[in-house]
Amino acid sequence: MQIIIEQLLNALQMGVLLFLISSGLSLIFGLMHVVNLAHGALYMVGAYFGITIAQGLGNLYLAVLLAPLLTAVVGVLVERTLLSRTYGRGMYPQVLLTLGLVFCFDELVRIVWGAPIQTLTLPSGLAESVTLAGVSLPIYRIFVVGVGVLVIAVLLLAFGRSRLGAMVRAGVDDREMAEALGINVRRLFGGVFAVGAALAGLAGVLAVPIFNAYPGMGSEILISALVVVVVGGMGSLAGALIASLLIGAATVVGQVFAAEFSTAVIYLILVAVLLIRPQGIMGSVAR
Amino acid sequence: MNNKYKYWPLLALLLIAVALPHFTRGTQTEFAIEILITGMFALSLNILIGRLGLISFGHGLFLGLGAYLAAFMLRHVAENLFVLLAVALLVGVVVSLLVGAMVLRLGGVGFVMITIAFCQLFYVLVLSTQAWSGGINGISSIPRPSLWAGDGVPDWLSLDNGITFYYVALLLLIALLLGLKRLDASPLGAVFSGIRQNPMRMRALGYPVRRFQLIGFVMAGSVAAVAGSLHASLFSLVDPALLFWTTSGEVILMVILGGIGSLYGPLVGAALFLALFHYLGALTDHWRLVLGMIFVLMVLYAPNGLVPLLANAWHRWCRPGSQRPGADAVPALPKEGI
Repeated sequence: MQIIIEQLLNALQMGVLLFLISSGLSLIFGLMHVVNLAHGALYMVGAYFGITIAQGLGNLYLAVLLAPLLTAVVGVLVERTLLSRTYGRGMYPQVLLTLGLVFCFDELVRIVWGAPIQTLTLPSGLAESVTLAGVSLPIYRIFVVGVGVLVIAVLLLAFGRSRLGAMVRAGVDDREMAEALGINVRRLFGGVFAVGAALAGLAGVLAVPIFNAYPGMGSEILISALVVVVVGGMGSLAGALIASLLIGAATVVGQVFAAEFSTAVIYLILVAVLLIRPQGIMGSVAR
Repeated sequence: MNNKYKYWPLLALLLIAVALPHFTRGTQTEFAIEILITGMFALSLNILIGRLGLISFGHGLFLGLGAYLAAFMLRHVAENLFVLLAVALLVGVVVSLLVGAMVLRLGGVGFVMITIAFCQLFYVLVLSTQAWSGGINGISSIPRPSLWAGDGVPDWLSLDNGITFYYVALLLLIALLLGLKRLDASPLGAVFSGIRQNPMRMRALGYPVRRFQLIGFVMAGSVAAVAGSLHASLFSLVDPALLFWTTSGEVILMVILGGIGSLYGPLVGAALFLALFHYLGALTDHWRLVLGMIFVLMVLYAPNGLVPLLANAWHRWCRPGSQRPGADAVPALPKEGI
C-alpha cells in the first residue's frame, strides 16, 4: 500500500512538472509553428534564478513566485530581440536559432553560476513527511503537485473559458483567419511566449530540490517535453496534459519494474504513438 | 577567371592535403584526421539538409552506431580495415533503412522531433546495457584497424601509423566528395533538389517523394556510420555522449556554418568548428558561448553559410561589378517541410 501510493505521488509530480514545461512548448508551436529548442534552457534559467533568490532571501516560497517572472522576462527578451527577426522566414531558421541559443544559455549559466551541481535545502515546513491513513508522504512532493494542479486549473480555465484564451485557440486553429478577424496574433504570441517561459521557469525552480540543478539540465528535460508534445498532439493543451500524466506514470512504472530501461519506456511510447496515430493523441491532422 | 585555371585552386588544396602529414607534429596529425572524419560526417548530414531539405536532429545516432560497431568489431572480430568499413556501411544501410522508414512518416516539425527522439532512444539503450556498452563510461582501448593482418607486416600497413590513417581518411573523404559531385549532377540529384524546393509538386508529378527521401536518408546514415567507425578507431574510445542529441545539434551547426548550398561547405564548417574547439578551447572554457553566438549571428545575417559568402566576396574582389555565375541559385532553407 505504502509503495503504491508513494509511487502514485511520484508519477503525479513527474506528470505535473512535464506539463508545466510542455504546455508552453506546445502552445508556442501551435500558435507560431516555432519549435523552441531553447525552452529547456528557460527551465534551467528558472531553476538557477530560483536558487539565487532562495539563497539570497532565504525564502523558497518567494523563489517559486519570483523565478518564473524573471524567466518570463528573459523569454520575452529572447523572443523580441532574436526570434522575432526570423518570422516569415519559415520553420528552419527558428529551429536553428533556438539551437544556437541552447549552446549560449548552457555556457552563460556555467559562467554566472558555475559548473558544479547545486541544490536547495527545503525549509523545515516542506522537508518533513506527513502521515495520511498510515502512509507517510514527503510534503514537498505534495506541495509540487498542489502548485502544479493550481496552475494547470488556472491555465485550462483561461485557455478554455476566457476571451484571451479563445483568441489563442483561434490563432492555433487558423492563424491567417484569426488575423483577418482583427486579432493581433504577433502580440498574442509575445504573451503566450512569456507565459510559456514563466511556466518553464516555475517547473525549473520546483524541480531543483528533487533533481538538483546543473548546466545542461535543460537539454535533458527538453527531450522529455518534446516527447510529451508529440505524443499529446502539437498545439493541444489537453493533449499535453494527458501525455504528461501518461509519460510521468510510465517513467515511474518503468523505474519500479525495469529500472535499467526506465528512460527507454517513454521513447517506446513515442514510437508506438507515432506509428499508430502520427498526429498525437489529441492532435488534428495537418491541413 | 579563365576556365582553364578553374581547377588550379582545387589542385593546390589537394597538394597541400597530400603533403600535410609530413609537416605535422605531435597530435596535429590526429587533429587533421579528426577534421577529415568529422568533415565526412557533416557532408553526410548535408545530403539530408542541403539536398533534401530535411533537418535531422538525430544524425549522431549513425555516428554512434558506427563507433560502437567498430568497438565491437575491432575488439572481438577482426582488425581488418576493409572488413570494418564494409560492415559499418552495411549495418548503416540496414539501420538507416529501418529508422528512415519510421521517421519519414512525419514531415516538418514532426521530423525534427522524432529524429531527436530516436537518437535519444539509442542513447538511453546504450546507457542501460552496461554489460555490453560500458554504460556512461563507454568503451576504451579499442585497437586500430590494419590494412593487412598477420605477423611481420610493415608498420605502415597498420592504422597505428598516423600517416597511413591520414591517407585512408583522406582517400575516403575524396571518394565521398566525388560521389556527392556525381550525385548533384545526376538525375537522382535533380529529383532530390526538386523535393527540397517543392515536395507537393514533385508528388503531383508522380515521384514517390518519401521513397526518394528514404534513399537520401540511407545514403546519409550509411556514410555517417562509416565516419563513426573511423572515429572510434582514431580515438581508441567510444563515448556515449556521441549519441546525446547535442552532438547531432553540433553537426547541424557545422553544416549551417559552412553553408548547405555548396559542396565543400560542411567540410569547411567542420574544420572551423574543430579549430574553434581546439584553439579557442585552449584559451577559454567558454568557447561554446562564442560558438553559439557566431551561430545565432549566422542564422540571422548569413543564412547561406560562410562558403557562399566568401566565394561571393572573392568573386566580387576579382571582378568588380559582376555576380558569380549561379550565385542566385544557392538553395535556401525550405520555408516549410511537408
